[in-house]
Amino acid sequence: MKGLMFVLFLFAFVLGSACAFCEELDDSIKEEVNKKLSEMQEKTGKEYVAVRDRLINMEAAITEYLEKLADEKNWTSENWRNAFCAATVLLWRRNRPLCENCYNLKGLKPEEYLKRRLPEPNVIRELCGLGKEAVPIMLEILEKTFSLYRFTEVVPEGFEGEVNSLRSMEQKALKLGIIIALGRLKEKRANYFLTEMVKRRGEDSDVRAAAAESVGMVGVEGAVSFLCRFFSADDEDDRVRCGAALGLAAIASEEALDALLENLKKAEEKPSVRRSVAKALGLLASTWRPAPDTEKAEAMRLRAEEALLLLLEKGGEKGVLEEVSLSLVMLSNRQTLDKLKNIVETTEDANVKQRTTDLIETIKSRLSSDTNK
Amino acid sequence: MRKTLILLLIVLLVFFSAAGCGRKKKKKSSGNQYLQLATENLSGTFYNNNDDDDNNNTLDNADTSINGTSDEADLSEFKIVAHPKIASNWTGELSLDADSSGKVRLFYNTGANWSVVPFTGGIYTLSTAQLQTGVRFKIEALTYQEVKTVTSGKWCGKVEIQFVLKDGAGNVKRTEKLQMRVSPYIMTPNTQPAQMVYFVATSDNSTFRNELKAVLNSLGIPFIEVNGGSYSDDRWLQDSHEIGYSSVERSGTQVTMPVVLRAPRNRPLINYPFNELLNPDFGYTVYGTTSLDTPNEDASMNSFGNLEVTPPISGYPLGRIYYGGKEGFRRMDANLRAFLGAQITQADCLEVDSSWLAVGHVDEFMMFIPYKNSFKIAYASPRLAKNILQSLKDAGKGSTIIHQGKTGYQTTVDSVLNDSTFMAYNDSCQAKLDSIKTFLKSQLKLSDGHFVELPVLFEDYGGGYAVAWTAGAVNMLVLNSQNVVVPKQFGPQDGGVDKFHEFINSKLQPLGLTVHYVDCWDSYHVYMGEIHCGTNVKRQPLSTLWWKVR
Repeated sequence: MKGLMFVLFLFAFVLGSACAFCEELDDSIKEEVNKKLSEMQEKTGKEYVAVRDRLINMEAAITEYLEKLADEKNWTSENWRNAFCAATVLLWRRNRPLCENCYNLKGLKPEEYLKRRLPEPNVIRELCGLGKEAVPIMLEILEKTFSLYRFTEVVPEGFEGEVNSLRSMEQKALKLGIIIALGRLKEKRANYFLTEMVKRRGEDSDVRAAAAESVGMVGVEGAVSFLCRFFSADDEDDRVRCGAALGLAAIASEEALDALLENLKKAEEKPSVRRSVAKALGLLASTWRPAPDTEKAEAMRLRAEEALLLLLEKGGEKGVLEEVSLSLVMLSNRQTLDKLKNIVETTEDANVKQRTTDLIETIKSRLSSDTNK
Repeated sequence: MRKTLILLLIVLLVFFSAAGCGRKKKKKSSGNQYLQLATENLSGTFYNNNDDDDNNNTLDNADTSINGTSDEADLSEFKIVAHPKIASNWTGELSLDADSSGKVRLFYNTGANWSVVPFTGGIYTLSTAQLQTGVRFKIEALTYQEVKTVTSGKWCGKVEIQFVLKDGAGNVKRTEKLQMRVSPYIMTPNTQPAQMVYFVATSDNSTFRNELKAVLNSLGIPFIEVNGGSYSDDRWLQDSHEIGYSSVERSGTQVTMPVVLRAPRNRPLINYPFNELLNPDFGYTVYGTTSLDTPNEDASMNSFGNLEVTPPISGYPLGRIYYGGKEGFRRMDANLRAFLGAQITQADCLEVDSSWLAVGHVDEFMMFIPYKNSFKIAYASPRLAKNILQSLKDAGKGSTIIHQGKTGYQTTVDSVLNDSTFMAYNDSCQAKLDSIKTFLKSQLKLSDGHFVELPVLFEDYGGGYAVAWTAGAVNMLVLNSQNVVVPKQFGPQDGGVDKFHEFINSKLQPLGLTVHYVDCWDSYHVYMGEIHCGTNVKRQPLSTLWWKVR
């Protein structure tokens, strides 16, 4: 029964969008949509009709809203609901199956999907595909964080708490999606909102971490020092520190590498942060590898490698060693092998010895693959 | 002359050797004077009788009767040999070991019928008359083995049947024992040819179905289209179940029964195996806890795109079960792992790290493929995909479009290569794959030569989790030793040639494989799955006899 409720819950959202798009559908699809709408109306009553009507009216206003919202000065709170609806309809236009079948993702029932899903990659992709056109809408949604966001007025009796909790999770997923999309678009206009999101201690830490990473991807001036502040703060949430480390990796500058290495000691206290630093070092130096200035790239690679080898020698938590190993695999060359062999010979830590031995095997195989190709 | 003598000597050696084996066997099976295996089943093997021969939607072992002649044939026989001259007041007692109690059911022949053996206090008393005429017994298991080796309180699949002969005064005159073994659940590797292919007909996958059906028809491979309407268009048929088999000995040869293992996955297809696959001579079994019961379970890890078996390898003549997961992180359901770990012929199972993937299934990055009488592993490689794109760029063709017409995915070679974040992410995926390869080589005793790398680029799903961005080339349907069905790539076209197809062909065709490309983009790829995820296969059972190998 609960499952059915949530299917209806999703369905109402999709049909609301469908209705707004009705005018552009061919007759057979229109007939199908209308049939479903009738079924939905029977089940959900007047409230649903009200939502549908709002969305229909929205269709006429989409262009106007987009034009309006393209201008920064119009990023006002009263536009947020319309902006969100416009974004929904835009997504519907671009990828109808996505909207219809979002619950078809592997392994999840609709209610599980809502509870567990990470940011929806197709949504991120769509938002990125919309490009600059969608940026104001995304920012508007971020700014308001869906405080008034509703798919339907109908909350089945006895399910209020659960539905609200799902709504909040859905908001988180969409927020994450938007934050990641803005980072991938390298949208400089987003920097203010993203940095605000990182600063907001009351915000969900996954959201803050994603925002920190996106701040790095956008990479405006001052991003390194901003991220460094969070990365090095002992009292900061670990996930945010990890996000900041990955943000520094995304900036991939010498300054970002300096920041990571300088704060390495502080990060060492917490395994999860250490894992992220290890990952960040690999990503950062890997991003640099194809750089035209190969001498500089090699110098950065060496610095990152040196730090990773030290982390490897120190041993410790399994997850840290694994992340260190992966980054070393990414950065390795033939000279790395000698350094690793040296660790195998000198270390007294059995885990480190085994991990390093495997690492040597992996790197050898990788180098041989590179040679063969 | 000398040659003739040598030949004669060899013939004699073979003869005596064979005769010796025969004697040895005979001695082993006929050591008992009373309690003996049926001659047709000297291995003492028997089924978990989980098919539905009387078509009443109930497993045959769920009731206390034998459901017709077909069901009778599924039960294995042993007997008390007739001793017509036995003293008139002597009796016999039949009993089972404690761990087997409740795990098997015994029937005895009453002349025209079979009745359940009425144990009292764990003992069934045989009358003098029964000892004089002899008694035929049948055995069925109610479950598969629960543990791999003898463990008190758990059933390891072996039944020890004991017969005690007593004189009129109750003195024990003779004790005999017999051991029988339930067939394990055996998974079939990709090296076995497909006997039946299954896929779901949804409202939006007609392109995929039509293309796949054309391939199957051309090869004469039968298929079944599952009505998606009955299952809310849940298309992930690989994930809902695994079709394996059980087998027993009959007159020296292996008789098999296909068995579907339902996945503990709470999606609409969860009832498909019971509704449509359970049949006469088609068994059904369930292990593991669904996410309905354990809301915190990572349901995706319990899907059977995440459960596979290797072809026969060193130390595992029937292959070795492997599944994706990572200890302390994302794992398959513990009960399911325990069940798989107890299937002695294909366990110890290997847990391969798939936790870095958003969906989290092993079929997203590795697939065993046949090669002559052996195998290779198709293995995802972002490095190769990058190399192919880089070659185009180097040839001045960086503006070549990739994923032509695919909304949200269409871009150019230059754009992909210039996206440093995307490329660094793929480098990290490659590092992960390289590390897993080292693990697989060490665990399965493989070499680099076993791996056939195919181009796949991944994207960050969010939170660092990966999902195939290009059509997952390794996520393929293996039909037999000559044919594989690979997701159509929509890769960069150069001179009318898809460069990804060209590369994949160059790797797979030398293995004797014909590569059939099927378009699963819009109906599977965009939902984070590919052809393997959307199909299921019943394969020919292995000819290796499980009771002889482990």
